[in-house]
Amino acid sequence: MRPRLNKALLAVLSILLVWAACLNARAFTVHLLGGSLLRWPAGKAGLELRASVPFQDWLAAANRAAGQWSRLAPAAPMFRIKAAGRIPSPKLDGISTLGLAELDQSRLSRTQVWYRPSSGAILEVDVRLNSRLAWQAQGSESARRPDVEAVLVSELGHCLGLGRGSGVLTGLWPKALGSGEPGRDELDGLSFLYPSDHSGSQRER
Amino acid sequence: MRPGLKLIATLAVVWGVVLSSGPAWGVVKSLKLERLSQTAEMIVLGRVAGTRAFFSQDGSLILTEALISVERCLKGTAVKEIRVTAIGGRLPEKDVGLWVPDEPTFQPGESALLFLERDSEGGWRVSGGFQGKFNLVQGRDGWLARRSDLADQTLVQVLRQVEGLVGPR
Repeated sequence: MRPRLNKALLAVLSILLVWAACLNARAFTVHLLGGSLLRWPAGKAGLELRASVPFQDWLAAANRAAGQWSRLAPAAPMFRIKAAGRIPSPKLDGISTLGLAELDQSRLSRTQVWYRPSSGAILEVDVRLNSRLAWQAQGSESARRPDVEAVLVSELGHCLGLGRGSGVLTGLWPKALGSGEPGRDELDGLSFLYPSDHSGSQRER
Repeated sequence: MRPGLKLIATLAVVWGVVLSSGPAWGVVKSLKLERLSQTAEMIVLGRVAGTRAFFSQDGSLILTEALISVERCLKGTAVKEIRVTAIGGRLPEKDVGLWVPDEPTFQPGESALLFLERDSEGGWRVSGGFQGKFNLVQGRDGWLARRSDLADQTLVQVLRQVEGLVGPR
């Protein structure tokens, strides 16, 4: 009786394990625009993000967030955070920026991704953290104060073309805050967007 | 411990780790249905009759205005139509688009349950970013209210909850 029960339990757990693994493998989203993927065009090895942030440790947090993506997926374009005294307000001007802005209280941050609908090629990104909130940049998460690095990991993921996911990737704070590190879902997403032979669109300008 | 039980225990631990590992995607504050229902000035069930994308007055954003044909109003002044604006959209004639990940998007013909609030211009926008829009999809046993971060619920269930929170009309 007992060995049979063990076998049955083993079978159930194996099925659950396979199911969980499959579930995670599908948990990233990308954007298809008329047959084109929203992604950076080929040849964009480095993406300069001009950053105007109030403290040095915020800059370090931004670099750590960027580093997490480049470590995870070396084939994807890498962000280079460049400190800047002043940055232009978010608009389509060819300059990708990171800074602070007064957003409404329900938002921690906002990312704007400009792209060409004809090819899906990303043109530039502008990321803003809400200046009305109390932040921390020590890399530890708290339910009261959002962490610069954790939120920027999320935003830089969007900047690469990854969308909000379902299930554990909810896009909400503090509900979904975990380690702040991108994982297998994101690796799958980036591998899909930027395969090693990624040639990009020929139509981008 | 017997080898079979050891294997089961190992699998259980691995399964737990796999399921619990979720990265941070925190950009809007999580709002429960209770909070959404309280803060929304208007709650409507409607169909997207059409959309129009355009540059904002200062040229810094692309906005999309959705014309919603209201089928049922659960909170606020009853109207037949309402215009809701969201940040983002695309202008194919200029070959430029703006994607703002946490903003709701509208597709002509789709039906949705919308929690709305006033924007700074006095128009309407969706409360709490994407959280204030439940897409209605046809399920096997009727309409489902769908939001990417939640499990599907039947529309009847959601409407009952909302009516319980805002009171009957």
